[in-house]
Amino acid sequence: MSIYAQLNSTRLPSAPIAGWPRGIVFFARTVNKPEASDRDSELLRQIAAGDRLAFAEFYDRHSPLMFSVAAKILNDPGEAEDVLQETFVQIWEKAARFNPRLGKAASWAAILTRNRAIDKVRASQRRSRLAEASGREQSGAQTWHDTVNDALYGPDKAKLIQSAIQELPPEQRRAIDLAYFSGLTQEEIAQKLNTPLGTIKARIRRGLLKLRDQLESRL
Amino acid sequence: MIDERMQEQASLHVLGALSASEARAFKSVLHRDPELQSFVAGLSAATAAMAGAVPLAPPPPQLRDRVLARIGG
Repeated sequence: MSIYAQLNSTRLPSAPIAGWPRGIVFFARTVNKPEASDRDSELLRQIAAGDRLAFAEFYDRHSPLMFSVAAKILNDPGEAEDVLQETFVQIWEKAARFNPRLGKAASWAAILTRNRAIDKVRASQRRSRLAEASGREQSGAQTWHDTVNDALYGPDKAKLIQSAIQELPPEQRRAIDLAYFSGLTQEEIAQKLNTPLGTIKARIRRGLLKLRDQLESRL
Repeated sequence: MIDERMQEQASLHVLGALSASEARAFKSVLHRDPELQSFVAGLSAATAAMAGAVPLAPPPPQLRDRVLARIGG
């Protein structure tokens, strides 16, 4: 069997759930397992050693989250596809840099994707428009779609996460959203919100700490 | 004990909001400090939950083949 055929055969068959595509079902059934972090770390070690089968599995496990983040930031499916491709090439080349002591592979993959997407936004000089769009539709305000967290954790836990995000003080959530999804620097956020830089730093710190603590107590 | 200033740097780091020079300086400290590493891991979990709150947008199936081709599959 050719390596390409092997790569394609690594995608596990699974029955669709409630209309979700097969890839999402696989994502939901594999990434949300207690042993998932260990498996991801092992996959990244194998990828660093040039293992294409491990790379294909990592793609199946994390591409839904990564594509969703890129699509949210770019609001353009074609550009989101470009970002996903570029980010996976980066993972192929830099997998050895992943440090499991600094967080889970999903977090690492998401921030790599976010950074690529923000670079693309900056390159196309659409920051201002997208920043405004982000202001209209914050991550914590989306209640009418299935989210990535619905696929990962199921609707009950996804609601708990959503409520933890929504319970953040609006000014803290706004500052965090502008940094993560719009790619604004701390100085730019301060300028945009007409707020002292020190206050912005404090809002981001307190917001993330509160969200961390809420998630630890609820999940 | 991680002081407030370093907590702020860690928060901006997990959001990708440090400048390039700030990020380099922070990573050099992070590399040597296990307590700070643990703190960053906790904040990373929070940002991952936030990232996961975006609408689910599955990548098109044909994209998988293109990505695998990019690494010489």
